[in-house]
Amino acid sequence: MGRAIVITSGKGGVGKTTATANLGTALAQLGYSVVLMDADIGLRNLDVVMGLENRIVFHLVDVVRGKCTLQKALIKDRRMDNLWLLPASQTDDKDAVTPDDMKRLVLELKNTHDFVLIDCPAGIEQGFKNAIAGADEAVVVATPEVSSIRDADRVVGLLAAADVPARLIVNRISQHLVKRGDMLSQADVIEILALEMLGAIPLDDQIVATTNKGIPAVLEGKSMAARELSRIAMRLAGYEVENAQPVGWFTRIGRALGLAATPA
Amino acid sequence: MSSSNALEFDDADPVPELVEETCADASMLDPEHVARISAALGDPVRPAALLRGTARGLEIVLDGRAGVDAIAAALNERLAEAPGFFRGSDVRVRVEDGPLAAGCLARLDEIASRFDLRVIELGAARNDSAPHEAVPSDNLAAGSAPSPAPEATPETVERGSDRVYAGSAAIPEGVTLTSEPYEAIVVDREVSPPANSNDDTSLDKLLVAPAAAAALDTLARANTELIDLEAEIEAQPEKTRVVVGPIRSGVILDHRGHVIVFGDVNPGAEVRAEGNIIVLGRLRGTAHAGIGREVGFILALRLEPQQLRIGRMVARAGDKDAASSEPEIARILSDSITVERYQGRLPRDLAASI
Repeated sequence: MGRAIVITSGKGGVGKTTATANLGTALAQLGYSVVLMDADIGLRNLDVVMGLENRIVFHLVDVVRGKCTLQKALIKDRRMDNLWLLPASQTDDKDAVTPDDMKRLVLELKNTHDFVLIDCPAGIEQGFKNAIAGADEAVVVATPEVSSIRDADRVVGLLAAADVPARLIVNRISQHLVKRGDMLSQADVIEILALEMLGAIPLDDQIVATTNKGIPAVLEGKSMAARELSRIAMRLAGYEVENAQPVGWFTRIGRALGLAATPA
Repeated sequence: MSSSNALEFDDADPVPELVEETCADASMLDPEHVARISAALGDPVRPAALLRGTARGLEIVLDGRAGVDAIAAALNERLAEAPGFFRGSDVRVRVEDGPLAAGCLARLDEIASRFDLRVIELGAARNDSAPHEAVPSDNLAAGSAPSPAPEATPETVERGSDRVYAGSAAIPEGVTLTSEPYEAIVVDREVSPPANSNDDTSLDKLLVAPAAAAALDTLARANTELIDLEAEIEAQPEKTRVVVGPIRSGVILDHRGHVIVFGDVNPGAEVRAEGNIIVLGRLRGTAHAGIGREVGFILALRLEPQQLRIGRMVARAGDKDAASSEPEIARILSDSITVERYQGRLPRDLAASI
């Protein structure tokens, strides 16, 4: 039985979809069988970020309505054999499915895959309720901005009320802005949200470039953001990975002597 | 329609005369007369039971004129539509055109326990069209029968006597309203048990207090069934509520006694208490202490609130206030909310408010 993880944030535009695509791809790179599920019905994006939009024939709402089987709607990734996408419909709205539908769907996917990553729409309305219905755990994405943190805080409260344990990713953090005192640090974010931290993704131009190309950054490059996303994926899978602090020579020597990532 | 924050709804005032008429009759406490007037107000096809989400949580509105079975059936039906959704919720029960028929409370209890609901308040319906005005303290102080003064809403029809007493105990004589009253909070809330009357807030205790003598008289003439309902609710003494934080954005924590929070109160969250509020963490949201009273304090290890309210006073954080680095206490000093360093002991005038 696999794990269903919903990626959510409350506020829009903080990087949920990009995080979902990259974490899913990174988990697939680790050898797990992964399904990415786009729960943003009516405003689907995950297919674009994955570069799979022209392969969509059936989608999530078709499956719920019994127009096709779940297997038929799943799109296999171009690059990896163990990564799949269940696209959302672009024409229906959030009321087209119910939380019960989602629960059933997620359960079926969990039976055949190790991870089901659910890309949650922005907001806390029906779409949010649908997206978290089948989830075993949640990853909350927040950027170091007051508005994003406020929304994330609200979402964490709602997740707690629904008994979904949550962990945190801080996205688009810029160390030099933090140093200058112009940006909240990840410590500030954690202090307010009081959540376990999965990682802090640095602000990175390459993410923009790869996202527009439809290639998850973790496949492409060695960018800072891509490496942090890979580390977060490993943490999700249960590995203990040390933080990407700016490291001195002594630490590097330590790492070379075998203090690298070890399974939990 | 119903909202705890009546402040936003003050301008709606369509039928004030009707309301006052009802209230004038209420002072005579003639239930039949009240029922007749309510019927004359007319809303013939109202369901026997209604579920309503309000800013303060779930509210059940019962039609006092309906039979026990009709109410139970309607309530069952509504709750059964989404049984999981309501599970574990706190509900407030309002009775419109009460009193309820005999035996209704037992059914209500049974239904509540079946759906895992907790009834935290029970009372007569309030009419949102009633004028929300701050209650002048001298109107309440005497403990006389309710006057058809502006504070009289339909709520006072049945709860009037109780309200008079509670009010007179809660607002000390001689306390005058300040020039910046936080209107409607007092009016909008349920009857406040006097938090300074030692520890027991049960109705029995209330009635023994000497100031209640006049109220007792009025109460005796009120509908006995309703008193039973209230006694049952009031019999659960709630003095202090201890909560483990963080209290997150969007959450409203509302309690009739004191509140102690272990952890932070985040921006966008609100803690309301009729007693005092102590936050063993950062207070970054809004805190309202001493609701229905004019005394109380808010104490926090780090006091960085969006807004502080005590009784009817409001204070807003300054735009350039530095973050606090030590425990601070907010209280009312000479008609404004004052924040000062907490020196490890309660200022003398506040000790009485515990």
